[in-house]
Amino acid sequence: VSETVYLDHAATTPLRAEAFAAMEPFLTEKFANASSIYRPAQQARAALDEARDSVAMSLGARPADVIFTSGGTEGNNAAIKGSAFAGRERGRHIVTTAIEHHAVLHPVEELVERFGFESTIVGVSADGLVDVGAIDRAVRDDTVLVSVMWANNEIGTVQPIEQIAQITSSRGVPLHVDAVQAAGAIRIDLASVPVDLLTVSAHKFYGPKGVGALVVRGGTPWWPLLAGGGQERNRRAGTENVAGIAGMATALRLAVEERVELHERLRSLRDSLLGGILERIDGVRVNGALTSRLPGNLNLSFDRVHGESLLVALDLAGIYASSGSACTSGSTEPSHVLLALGIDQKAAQGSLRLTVGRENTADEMRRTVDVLDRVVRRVRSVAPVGVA
Amino acid sequence: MMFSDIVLDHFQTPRNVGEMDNADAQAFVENPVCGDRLQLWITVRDGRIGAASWRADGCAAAIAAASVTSELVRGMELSEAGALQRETVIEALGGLPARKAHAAALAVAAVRTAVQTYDGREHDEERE
Repeated sequence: VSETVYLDHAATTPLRAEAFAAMEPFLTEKFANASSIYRPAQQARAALDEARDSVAMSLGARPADVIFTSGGTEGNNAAIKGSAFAGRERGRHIVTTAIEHHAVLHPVEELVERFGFESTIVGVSADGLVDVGAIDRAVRDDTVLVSVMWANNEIGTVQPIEQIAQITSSRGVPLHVDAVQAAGAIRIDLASVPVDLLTVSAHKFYGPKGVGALVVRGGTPWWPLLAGGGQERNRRAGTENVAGIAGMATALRLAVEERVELHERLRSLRDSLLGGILERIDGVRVNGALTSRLPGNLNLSFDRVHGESLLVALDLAGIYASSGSACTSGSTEPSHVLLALGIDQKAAQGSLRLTVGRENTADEMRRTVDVLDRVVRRVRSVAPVGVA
Repeated sequence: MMFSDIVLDHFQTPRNVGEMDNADAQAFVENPVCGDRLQLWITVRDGRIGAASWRADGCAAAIAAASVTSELVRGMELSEAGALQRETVIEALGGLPARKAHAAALAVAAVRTAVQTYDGREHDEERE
């Protein structure tokens, strides 16, 4: 198969041409260290300032609150550990949810296991939505941080962050939001939503890999993760990735500008993909709410089919997607997100994540339905019969 | 791609699929942890496996292992088939990632179970 179909935009997105163009000078002739004092270095410094203003504007944040990072994992680790350490005199309790990315759950576990913190992991409804009341009930007098993702990476569900932020702000507890999947896809305006810390990653909105931003609202109790040189006003040491930062700023600005139009187009592509699948293939269920969901996300379970078999067959047909589980060393490691929805092990094994992006076409959706139909039939045709 | 061309070929074009009406023995084995399941049927002629067929669900490696094993054991003496090793199946597949070795182990367990079932029945008949 010569023509491939990329349907894994939740994993990463291709770098858009405008972002690459914004990066190129800083990868070639404008290589100077932004902390040096000669004129070429001042050009790099100016590019950083401009990027900071642009990223801040795209998120409704103050430029002074924007800290450039290496991406989502660093942003989440810095937000969580930085808030926990800075708040440890006030208390040692953290609230988060069962469907967070591992870049949130594992730092929280680390704080519990090595640093004497306690955590409350709030569950979600069967369609993958966080109950605002459950967050309110989980907050205690000694809670130093609440961390809830804006949109889920596996099932695309969008959480009621506005309502959660009202609760945390009225209770006086800092709120961190992992917006890695949300940035560029849904409206984020920190000027009107009292989120205290927010993580974004450039490669999820057609920017480069290895760069992101952490917004820390002024006055939030927080310590930097990385100590060293005085970069980012002593909040994130390390020579600035000027090219990456310039690329991210451009990609985020364009994503925000095009958001409404792209949202409609992605939802239409996603819905035609889902419609085609449901029409042609039986024994399919959608995981997670279809409303309050990222427009490009589809997460499906296929009866009597292993998700990993589907991925291999799709790959051979030139279609690139992801699964919620991997069958390794004789054990299946089902997705913690699907298990949190109460989906049984077997259905979690049959799960497939298809995430649509800006370069996909209606024709690609039709071809994907054709291939999936064929593959599911073939895999089911060799399955055992007459056994439970 | 994490899989060999042989694994992909057997996954895409599985051999000897389906139940057998005239089987001399069959087996149903399951990996309770990862949920892979394999049904195997064999015919026996003069102490050797005549033909083998199967049905399976599981990951791509599990399907390929079942398919390649059904070819591997054809014409094999029962004693040899009963002593089949996981490594032999892995070799016939052109290799498997280490974390997928359980797929070959399941196919081997099915062959052994089928041979033991057949042997058990043979002995019952001798006693009669």
